[in-house]
Amino acid sequence: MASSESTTTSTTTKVLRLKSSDNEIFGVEEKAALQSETIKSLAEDGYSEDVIPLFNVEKKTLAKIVEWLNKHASGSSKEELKRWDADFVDVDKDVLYDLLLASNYLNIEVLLHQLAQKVADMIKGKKPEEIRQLFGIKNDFTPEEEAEIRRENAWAFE
Amino acid sequence: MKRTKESTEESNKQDVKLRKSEILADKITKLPAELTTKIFSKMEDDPKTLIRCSAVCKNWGYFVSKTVNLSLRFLSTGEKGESLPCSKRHYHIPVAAIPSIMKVFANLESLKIKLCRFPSATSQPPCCQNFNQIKVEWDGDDYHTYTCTAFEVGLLSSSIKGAVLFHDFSRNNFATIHSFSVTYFYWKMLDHRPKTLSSMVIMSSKMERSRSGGKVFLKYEQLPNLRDSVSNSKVNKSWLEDPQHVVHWHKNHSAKNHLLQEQVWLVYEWKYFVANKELDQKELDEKELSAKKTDFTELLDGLDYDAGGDRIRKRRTPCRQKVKRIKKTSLPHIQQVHHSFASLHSRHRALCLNGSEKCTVILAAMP
Repeated sequence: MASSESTTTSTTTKVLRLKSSDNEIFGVEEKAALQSETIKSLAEDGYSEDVIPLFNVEKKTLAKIVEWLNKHASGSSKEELKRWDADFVDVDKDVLYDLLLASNYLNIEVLLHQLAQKVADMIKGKKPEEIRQLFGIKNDFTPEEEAEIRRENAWAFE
Repeated sequence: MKRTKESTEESNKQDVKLRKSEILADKITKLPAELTTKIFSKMEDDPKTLIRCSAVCKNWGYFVSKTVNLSLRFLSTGEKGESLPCSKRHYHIPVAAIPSIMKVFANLESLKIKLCRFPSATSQPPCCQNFNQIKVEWDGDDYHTYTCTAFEVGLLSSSIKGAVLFHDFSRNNFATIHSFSVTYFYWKMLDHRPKTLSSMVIMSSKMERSRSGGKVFLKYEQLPNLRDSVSNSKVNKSWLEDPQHVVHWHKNHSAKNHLLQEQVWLVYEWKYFVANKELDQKELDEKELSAKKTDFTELLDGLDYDAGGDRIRKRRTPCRQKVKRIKKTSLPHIQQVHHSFASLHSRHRALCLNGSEKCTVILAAMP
């Protein structure tokens, strides 16, 4: 993308207005907002002049998403982005779920991969009981079923 | 267990409503299926964690069983235990676990097996180090096996020493898989693969870099050129850059001086395919041998980059693209190779096809 010099055209500075499910409106530069495939297709459908309603994203989550979109459209260096992204996904689990759902709904592939990787990293190296505890997952195996899984793949539980 | 997408979304909406309340349980298993799949796809190279996940709850057990791509890492010990232990911190799966792993991942489509190999303390010329890659593609019940090997055969230096090349370059030394482990896993996986599996790659993993310097890759046919050039002391950079002389020159960019100090590697590819039905002569005639460029580059990249995970591939150099044809292998040798297979595997019949030569080797009495 051409860098915006003094002769910025109206298209590069165009601002899209995104509305959260709880009616908060965020103004985002078009270039940043279009990283979301969902916003892109809504904009193409003629919403761009108006407010784009995002029914599935609360303002708290949308604020984080907008922050990500802006940072990733800012032309930061790769190294800086990497550091920034690591901080960005370092949030508590509830926020992480919300971001996962929102980035899935908004179809932001890069962010989705970062978040999935974060969850995978949280799981790695832990025992089943530790994973259950971490995410509050209920064990719905009978003791016999669980023992069977552990017995068949004993090496993985050592 | 398995949820439909609608009901998952429904429960997520409820979660949104309940967020402010004290209910805190278990949002992760209520994520939409595509998100759970995405999270688990980040662990394709970590079967240990995936199996642990399968024991967390039934929902996760289901998703783990749906894994389509998997990468397994084993330790390839020498036949007589002569290899040095792997010094990397990554996990090696015990070989005995293969049948149970394949039961957990019953829907696999693509499998990569990496074998950590380290310099044998007692390696003999002509092969100080060698790397093997076997690639298998299934088409229904038929499958095709492509093999590529690389052998370190000498050292090329622009200092006074010149070149040191091993003397015995008979084809028999090269048209074989010198790694017992690679063939062992090959037969093991043919027995235990899930029916859904359509592609498998077994490759020996990079060993510690033992010497500095670059690597020169040659085809068997190019070897005499090198020897002639060495005796006329003509090997210099421009000679090595000529794609007629070498398949690929992997330069050592960190070298500051201008001396050449290159390992010489011999690359050998062939194809045999093993079928559980006998192909008639016509079918054999029509089968075209064509080494795939990607297989070849994968092997070469494996030599240079495959340490931990899959790194980004290096830019391909034009000379790599020269690789088109598979070299002939010698008939007696193939029989020898398959003889050793026979002890491992008695049910299969091997049909070996190489260049213009054709042969059928019966491995063992058919049932």
